[in-house]
Amino acid sequence: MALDNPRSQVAHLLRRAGFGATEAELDQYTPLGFAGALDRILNPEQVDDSATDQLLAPLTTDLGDPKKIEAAKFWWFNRMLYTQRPLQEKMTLFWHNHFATANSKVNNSVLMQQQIQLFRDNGLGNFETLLQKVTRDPATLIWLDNRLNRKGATNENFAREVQELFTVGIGNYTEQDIKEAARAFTGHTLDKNAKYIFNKNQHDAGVKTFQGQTGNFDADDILAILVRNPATARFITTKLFTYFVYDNPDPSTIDRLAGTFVSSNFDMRSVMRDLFGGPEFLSPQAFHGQIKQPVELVAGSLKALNVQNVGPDVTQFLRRMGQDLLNPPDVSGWKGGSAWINATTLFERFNWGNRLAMGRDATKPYFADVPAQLQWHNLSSPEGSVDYYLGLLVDGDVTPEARQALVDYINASGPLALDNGAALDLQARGMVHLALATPTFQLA
Amino acid sequence: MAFNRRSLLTRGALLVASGFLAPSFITRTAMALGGPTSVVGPVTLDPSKKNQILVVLQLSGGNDGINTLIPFTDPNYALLRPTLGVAPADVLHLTDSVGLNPNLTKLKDLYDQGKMAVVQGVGYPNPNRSHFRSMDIWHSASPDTFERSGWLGRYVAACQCAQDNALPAISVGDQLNTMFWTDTTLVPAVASIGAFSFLTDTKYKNDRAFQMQTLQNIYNQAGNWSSSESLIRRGTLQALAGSDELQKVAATYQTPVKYPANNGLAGQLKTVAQVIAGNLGTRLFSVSMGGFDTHTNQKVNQDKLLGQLGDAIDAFMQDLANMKMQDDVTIMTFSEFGRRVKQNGGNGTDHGTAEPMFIIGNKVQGGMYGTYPSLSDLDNNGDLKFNADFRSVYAGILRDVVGADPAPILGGTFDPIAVLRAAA
Repeated sequence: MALDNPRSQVAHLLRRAGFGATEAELDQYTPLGFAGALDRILNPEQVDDSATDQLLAPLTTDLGDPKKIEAAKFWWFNRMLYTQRPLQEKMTLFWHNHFATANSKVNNSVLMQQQIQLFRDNGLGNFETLLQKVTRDPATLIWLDNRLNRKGATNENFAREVQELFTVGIGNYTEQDIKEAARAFTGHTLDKNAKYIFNKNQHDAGVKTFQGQTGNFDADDILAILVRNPATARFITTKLFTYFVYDNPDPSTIDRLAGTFVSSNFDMRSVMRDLFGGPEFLSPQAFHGQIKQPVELVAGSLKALNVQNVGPDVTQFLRRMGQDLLNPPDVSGWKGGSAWINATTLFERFNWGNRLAMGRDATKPYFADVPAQLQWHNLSSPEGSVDYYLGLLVDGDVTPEARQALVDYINASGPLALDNGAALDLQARGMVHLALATPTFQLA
Repeated sequence: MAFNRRSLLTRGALLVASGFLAPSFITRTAMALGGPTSVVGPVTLDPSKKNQILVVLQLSGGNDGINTLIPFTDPNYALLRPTLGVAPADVLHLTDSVGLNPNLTKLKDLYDQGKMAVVQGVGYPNPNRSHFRSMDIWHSASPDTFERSGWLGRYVAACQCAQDNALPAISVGDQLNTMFWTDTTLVPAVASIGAFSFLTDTKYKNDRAFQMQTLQNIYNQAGNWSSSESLIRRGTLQALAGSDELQKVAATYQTPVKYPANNGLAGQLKTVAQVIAGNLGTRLFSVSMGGFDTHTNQKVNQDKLLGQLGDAIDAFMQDLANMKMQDDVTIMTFSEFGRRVKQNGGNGTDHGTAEPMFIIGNKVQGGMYGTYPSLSDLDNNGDLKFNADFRSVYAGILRDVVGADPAPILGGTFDPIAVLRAAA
């Protein structure tokens, strides 16, 4: 049964708090138990990740070129795939989606990577600190135009979105709050080298009235008021819960998480411990209760099939599934959930599975050694092979009819045998493609 | 592997056992898997409109309507837009007080030919200046309450046209436009016709039919699915049903019209033209272009976008004329909001309110509708006061083009504008 044993719980945790798991990773995490695995991922700084750095070193060549955004996307995806600090990278992606900034306007790969590193360094830290750093981040200053926000000639773009999307949420500010906040953010700009500066001459130091309070507010004063507004605690924890657990959380769940947000002085690690450690996370409602993001689908399948060589076009597969890394569609990020699913993105998901199932050349990207996986586990019966892959890909969570359909597919072209290379090449690979196309594999 | 006779027979049995890939069968199965019933009650349909096609063209980001349809004689225009304003002599005059942005020469031609209606000052009460909420309002046609379903989705759900046609409407692009969303009836998003297909192993071409059949066996299964799984199952069945038809269309479409390069909207409209040429019975399309959120450097950015808009529409109209479909297609443009009258600190404009809409087509009752909002009588935020409710425009589109009683779909009665010529 689902989520009633450590391996299933750990697999669930790594799907949500990370990007899926290889068989080897499941073997490594399972003995820790759910609590031990949670401790490990919540404390990434205690996990040595130098092997990942070494693995990614060959991909760093073009990262210093501000025009080569594809290199930055590819490097980041590989980090998601290989890191031993899965939650650190998942939080990085969460904040990339929350403070959604797109290279389509920033047009500078180096600044985009700088912002992503900011999320990586602060993603499990203090939310107020994170917000202050994001406000001064060069990519943000370009993306939301605050670099051009000057005393007497304000630009409201950042002042609006920091309230609507980053903190309190829509309905918890007025148009006047936007105008007043915009005044407070004046002067926070960039120099000629795209480095953050505070230009005192462009800053409006006058008295502002913001959310019912009056004073000579600067940017950090506004952020402090926003972070302490109870609406922020609910807005942020609802978004986190929806992202990591399931839609439409019970109000009492949000009461609890919002309470932790406040009582921990906005410490994200405390909030995430409460979120993953709470009763909701291992509930039947959570199990396969979410639609996988494209990166989860792609990384999860690469891990399950133990694919070691990923091609640079992997980011194009992701883009066609609706998730162009470093290029979210707008400042609200990817809508997520059911918005990942439509006729086009479903075909893209299935066709990605076909690409992996066809990965039969060990010298080329996406080499998926399906015969070796079956031989390693000594699985030659159709049922055994199907059960093995359904276990790996969907925790065995399919209907008996779907399982039988896959068995029938194999049987339809004759016996499967471990020494029959042709059968393994056709039937086993075809079955893997179809298993990747099951409804449950689209779920996290 | 080489198929032996026995395995072929077995595989044949697999196919026969589970039915065929007929679109009507699949869509009915998909509907049977569906959740709640239709979000609107019965809608009276007008069968005389059954050949009319609507293309909704979304300008995302909040297009600055004031520099699109320019009130060039209003003294406040030059005053409030000292560097962004267009000189009266450069404006493409439509009347003696308003005219088009100089980059819209193609639309000026259409207006002069009587093929373009311009609705001035469109908006809704208590305007919302959030991109996301305001876009939701335009998609749902529900400004006062939160409504998940889209106005055209409600039509598709009510018209029963999805029962025997996998493609009654198409949202062009890789995201489904939420104007088509309902919980009951899915509209496919199509980014590229060529890629709209379930691919199988190229090494074993004969295996494709068996893979397809296994997939169907898995997806056809009835059950008490979660809403997420139900969506995936219905979406997949519908995608499979539409795929073969679209592949045939892609193989036959040819056009002498040169669509402009490096113009995303033109590519989308070309996809629309391909589907129209294929005569699949698809009557509703959405296309979109982004980049209109011009808080900075508006002139450069918006000028370029408006030029692309005009070029794309021009090529599409030529293509329609070439396939003799020009009398059957109507285009409607909209954006989530217009922009602030006074320019901001970045040679751009912040979020605003009312905007002009364009309705284009051979049978459109061309000309100027409504009155331009005053630039001296602004709301307390410095924004235009709207003169025409967007639901009146939708009502006219539903009555004259879609052929459906607007009231149940819009959840109220709005005075429809006359979209098509009376004789049409």
